[in-house]
Amino acid sequence: MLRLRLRHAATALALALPLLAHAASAEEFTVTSWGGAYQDAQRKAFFEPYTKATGVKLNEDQWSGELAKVRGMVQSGSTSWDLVSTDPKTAELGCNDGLFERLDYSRIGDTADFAKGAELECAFGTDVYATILGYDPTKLKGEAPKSVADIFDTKKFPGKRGLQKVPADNLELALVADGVPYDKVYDVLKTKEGQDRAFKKLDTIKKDVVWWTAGAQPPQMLAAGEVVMTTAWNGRIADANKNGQHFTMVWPNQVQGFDMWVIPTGSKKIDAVYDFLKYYYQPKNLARITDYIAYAPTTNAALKMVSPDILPDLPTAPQNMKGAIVQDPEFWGDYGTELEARFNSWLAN
Amino acid sequence: MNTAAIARPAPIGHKRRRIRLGAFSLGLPLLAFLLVFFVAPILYLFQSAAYDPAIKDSLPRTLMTLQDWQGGSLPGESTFDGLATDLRELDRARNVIALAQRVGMEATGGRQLIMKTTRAVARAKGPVTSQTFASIDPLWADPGFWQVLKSGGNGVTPLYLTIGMGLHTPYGSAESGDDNNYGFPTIFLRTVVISIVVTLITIVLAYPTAYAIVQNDNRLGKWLLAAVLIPFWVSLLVRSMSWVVLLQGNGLAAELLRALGLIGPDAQLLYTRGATLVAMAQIQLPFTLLPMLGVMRGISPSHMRAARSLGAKPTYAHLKVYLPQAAPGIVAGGMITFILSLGYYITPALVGGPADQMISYYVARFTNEELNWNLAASLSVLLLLLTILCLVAMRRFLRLDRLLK
Repeated sequence: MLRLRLRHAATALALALPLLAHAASAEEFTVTSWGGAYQDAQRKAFFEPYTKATGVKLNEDQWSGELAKVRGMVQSGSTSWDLVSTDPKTAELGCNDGLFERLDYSRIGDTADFAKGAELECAFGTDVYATILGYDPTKLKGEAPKSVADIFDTKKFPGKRGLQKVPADNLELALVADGVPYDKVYDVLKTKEGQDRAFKKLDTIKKDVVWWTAGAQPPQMLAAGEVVMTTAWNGRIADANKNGQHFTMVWPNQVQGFDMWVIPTGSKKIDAVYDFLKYYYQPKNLARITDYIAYAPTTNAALKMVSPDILPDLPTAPQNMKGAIVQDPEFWGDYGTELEARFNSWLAN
Repeated sequence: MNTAAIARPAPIGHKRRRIRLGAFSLGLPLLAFLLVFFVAPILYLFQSAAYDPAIKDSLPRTLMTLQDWQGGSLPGESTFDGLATDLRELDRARNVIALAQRVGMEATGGRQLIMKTTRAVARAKGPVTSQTFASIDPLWADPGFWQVLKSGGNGVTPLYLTIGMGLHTPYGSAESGDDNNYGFPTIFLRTVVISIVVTLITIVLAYPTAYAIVQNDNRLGKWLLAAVLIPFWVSLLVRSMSWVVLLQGNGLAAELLRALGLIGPDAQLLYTRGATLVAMAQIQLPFTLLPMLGVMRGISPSHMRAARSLGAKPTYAHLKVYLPQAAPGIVAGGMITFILSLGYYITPALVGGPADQMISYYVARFTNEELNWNLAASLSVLLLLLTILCLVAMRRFLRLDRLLK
């Protein structure tokens, strides 16, 4: 009798399972990030633990900051991304263009504890990354580069070099290489003469540049001997070193930015996304990113929980902060589109 | 008068018409298909190249008040009133970007002007007047700029076609210079030059190969033909990617050339003009070769024998007897390659550098990345016109009509 009843119960459960699964799938949402080592770290630190804790399924997609993809979704009224990881300049540009929802911080956490600049109208920072200079010391013999801006020095360091195929970071570094103090770059870049000066400096290395678009490319280009040095995100070089490479990172004049969450306008899963963000910003969760990639969490409470052996690898460590440029979202929000057009036009000729 | 016509008299009157109609109806599915999937999109392309209602749709009240305004002086307060209402409306709908993008193309700094003004007007407390606008940006107190806005309100605009032809000067660019114009004439010229060079490379490679295949009607000829045809059956993308693998820094071709001492240790093969030309020529080779082969197969060997028997040296006989007969094949093959090359996109995008990209790359870029479909349409229309122009020119100078009879 008991066995029979058990069997009935099992059948009932089996029949009900698809229904349960269906109920859960109503909650699932799509999160888009930068791919490669960074998204792997996010998956292990946040996505998988969250699904385990709540049963909410996260579908993943990836991008390289192409705002037009979001614009296409929003303009056609078919937003299929619900949460997107981006950087300050893209966040601010998209916010101005109405592509991202304005955030309700009360649904996320205590903003008083955030790093300065991590909290924008439409976006807020999850971790600090840095654009640094990476090279392979077995191939680059002689004098070692001392600053990220040394990428502009083709006399001391001849050969091909890698740069990201966007104006941001490159224009700032061009000015530093041309003698502008690192804390004055945005003042200079706001003027027409300053922009001309930066492009003129870029002209001097144009024929030596191999352009990269995805964060996973710089370590590959170094490993393949395609370039002698390249700008790269620090976490990607650190990750390559963890996997057996021996690249050197140059920190002075690093360009610091935030990885930030934005919600594309018209997302239909806003409540589910806010629940996830609330979980994300609990200090013990936010700090977990450092277990997988060398990016610094954005709240003081989370930073206190980071293990001391990891601290020196983070962009915010005092010894790495020499001459650090902090990417200015307001500048890129105002000038980004026109500089982007000028940059692409410059590339084409 | 042939014999068939005598045996069966030609049908007359309505009967002949019915036969013709029957033949025509067989082609109807194809005609309908072409109309829907070829003619209609091209017409739409033409329309998009010259029609953009962004200003018309975004600023209806402003444009209404501008109807009687003749220019020369600033428009009246009612216009600024209408503009404030229009901008507030756009801010509420978070829909200001289309207007900003368009004004940004019309006038230097126009994009920022619209974004900034919309933000300021939406946040302003109290009435907004012409004074307010002038204090946000002096451009609002410039009658010339208002003229630009008014003429942009038409919907029909030469803007995109003139940008494509490099003839557009944004309002106010005289003082600050225009750095964002891409230089499309240069890119069109680059497209034509690359296509011509690729065509010449394929002709030089294909002619002797085709000749060898026709002359060796044995094993060797078959192997040669297979060597040409097998890559032809492989997808374009796969072939382009294999060139990336071959040419990259530590790729096979680079290592080989370096070992032979033909290139220096730091020489770059990938992402260059040379890589673009070589990869495109490899992909286009069968298109040039196959028409040549067809024509050469039809040339009777007895002509050459006759020329030799009359005392002509081999080279002379080839140039005087063989080449003129093979010419239609060369021209047909070369033309197919030239026209296909004009539209190349994926191969230069994969193996070329930023300064080797052809016009289709920019059509794709403005379609997918900048979402400026009007400009993409205008570039497509200009490419279409350029192709037709090239065809007409070749017809005139190469006397295609005589060769292709």
